[in-house]
Amino acid sequence: MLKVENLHVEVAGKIILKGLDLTISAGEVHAIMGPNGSGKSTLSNVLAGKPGYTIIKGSISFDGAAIDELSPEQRARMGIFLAFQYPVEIPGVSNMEFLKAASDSIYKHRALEPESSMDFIKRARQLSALVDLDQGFLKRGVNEGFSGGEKKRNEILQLLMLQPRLAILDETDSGLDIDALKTVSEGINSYKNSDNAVLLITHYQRLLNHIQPDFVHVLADGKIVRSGDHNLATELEAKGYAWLTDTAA
Amino acid sequence: MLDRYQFIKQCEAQYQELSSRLPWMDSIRSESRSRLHAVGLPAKNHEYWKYSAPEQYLFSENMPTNSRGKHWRCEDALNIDMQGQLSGDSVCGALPDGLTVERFSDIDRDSSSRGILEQHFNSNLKNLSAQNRYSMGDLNTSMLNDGVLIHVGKGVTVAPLLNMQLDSSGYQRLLVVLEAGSSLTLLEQLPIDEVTGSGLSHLVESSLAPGANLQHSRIQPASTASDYALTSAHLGASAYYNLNLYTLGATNRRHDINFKLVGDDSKVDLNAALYADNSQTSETLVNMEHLGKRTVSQQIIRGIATSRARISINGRIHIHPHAQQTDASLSNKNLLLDNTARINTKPELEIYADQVKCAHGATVGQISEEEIFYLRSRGIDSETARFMIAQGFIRSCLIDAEFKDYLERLFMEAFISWEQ
Repeated sequence: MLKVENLHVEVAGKIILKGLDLTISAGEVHAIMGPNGSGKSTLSNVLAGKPGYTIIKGSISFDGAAIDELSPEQRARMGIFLAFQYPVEIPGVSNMEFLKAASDSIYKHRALEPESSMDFIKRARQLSALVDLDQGFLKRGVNEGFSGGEKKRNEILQLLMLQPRLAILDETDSGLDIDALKTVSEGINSYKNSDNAVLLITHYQRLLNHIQPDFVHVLADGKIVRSGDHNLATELEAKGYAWLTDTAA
Repeated sequence: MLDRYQFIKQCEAQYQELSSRLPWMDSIRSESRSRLHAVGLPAKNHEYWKYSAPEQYLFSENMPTNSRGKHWRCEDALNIDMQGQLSGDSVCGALPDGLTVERFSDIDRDSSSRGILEQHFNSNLKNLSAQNRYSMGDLNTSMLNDGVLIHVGKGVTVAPLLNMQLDSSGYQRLLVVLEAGSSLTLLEQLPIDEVTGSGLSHLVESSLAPGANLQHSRIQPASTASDYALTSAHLGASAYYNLNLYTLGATNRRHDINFKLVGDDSKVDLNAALYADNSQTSETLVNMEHLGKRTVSQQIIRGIATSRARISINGRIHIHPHAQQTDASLSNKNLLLDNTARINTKPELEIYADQVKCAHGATVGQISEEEIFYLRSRGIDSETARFMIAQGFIRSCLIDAEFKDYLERLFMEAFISWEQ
């Protein structure tokens, strides 16, 4: 589904990713772990097409098509979803209005009739209960005045509503208490199926207690320095990153 | 356009003609005229006119000096009528007891209203607008020919809303007198798409006796005219004034607002939502004078400008030496929708008492790239994203408005029609 080859990315004149390779197939859950400044957020932003991230070498393809040159909205319509580390507040634009506009643009891209407003609202209500958000949140401005945990749950609500092919979760676990972490993990698990894929970007192993990854990668200094199964995460938790980054250097 | 000299000549001629009308106003007119002579018409080099083109408000044609076209009704509830105006769906027949609404010219010499008028023109309101910065107010007063008196008797609560439809041109005047413990909800509306004259000079003066409560909203749709408004109020002890301004751009639009919180524990809430596009100018200058003890004022002003429009906001809070325990705040947030629009904002604090709370904040921003990227990352194209965010900001300015649905429609129509 996603193939990243020898990716070099520059942000504000600084090279952050230095030859990253990653292949994700449908049905898989990948976790990327790594110390601060290793390039984790750069990877998620460059996959989503954030302006300001320049690919200087290498390529990204999604479902066999090169997406390096595509706009963020084109990638989203193809099925790439980024759950933000810091979800943005948009005052006055209701969550519902925002989600419907997003959903309609995705349907349009697939040459489908948009989902009826009635069905959409019904689905939104059910799913907001699943992520433990009161229905009142649907009418409120996007993330406006939401707590940190509510913002993260709202990201998962969007994920469930839009049903993308690839979900990139950028430190979705940061700033969550134990209950919220559980709710968020349940949301991700209910999204997961054999046709889609999940890329979890995280500092800590605790999210991986709730969502078992098929692959764990360690990102250090812009490259993946080690890959393994979920046992690698446990090992990292015990030993830290230094032993890997030192080997890399 | 007339030059200043011609304008003054014309004003003098108009002034002379007025002397036969409502002779009891002669002294009031002449006092204002003298002050105007001393202070002079507003000029670009005056501090409070530096963002304006004052000559735009010195109108080029003979301004009508009567306001007989103005009409009013009491409404039990409001909705949007076929013409898109905010209109009552259940009208009170006669005015409720204790509420008087009369044209100055209809007031008899011996009536009680005449006493109220004279008392207010000669005492409470006498010095309210008589400041050098309000020479436009003196111009209005020197042309005073008619006006409307709104009076609410002692302890009377007027339950229905008083809906005033304003003329779109001329020198206009409203005098609102609320006796002790009374309350009134007043809505002023300027007509939509009806530009009949060259300009509007609108002066509203209010006097709130102790414990009086005035809820006052003004809706100004988009206009191709120039209009000037001065809203002044004098508040007695524990009086409360809530002023809500919903203003779309005009070719030139300026609003001076002057509150005097004289009585202890008096309070003002001012909310304003300002939108301007297509080279329009919109200026709002507030002067909040805290004189009594424990007085409270809160100003929330939101501005949105696009397409070479210019919005200027000046919020002055003046806390006098004896006004201890004043609590004053001013929040002004503005959004520029493109790089041709301009917003000037200038908060001004003058504090002479030492036991006060005073907060101010002013921001001018553009739609952030972060916000746009967030929407795009969900599949929404950048143009739509920008549009949605701008709409959202407008909506968030109106969130607490009483006629929210109507106002949202009015603002959105202006915004959407311009964007298209």
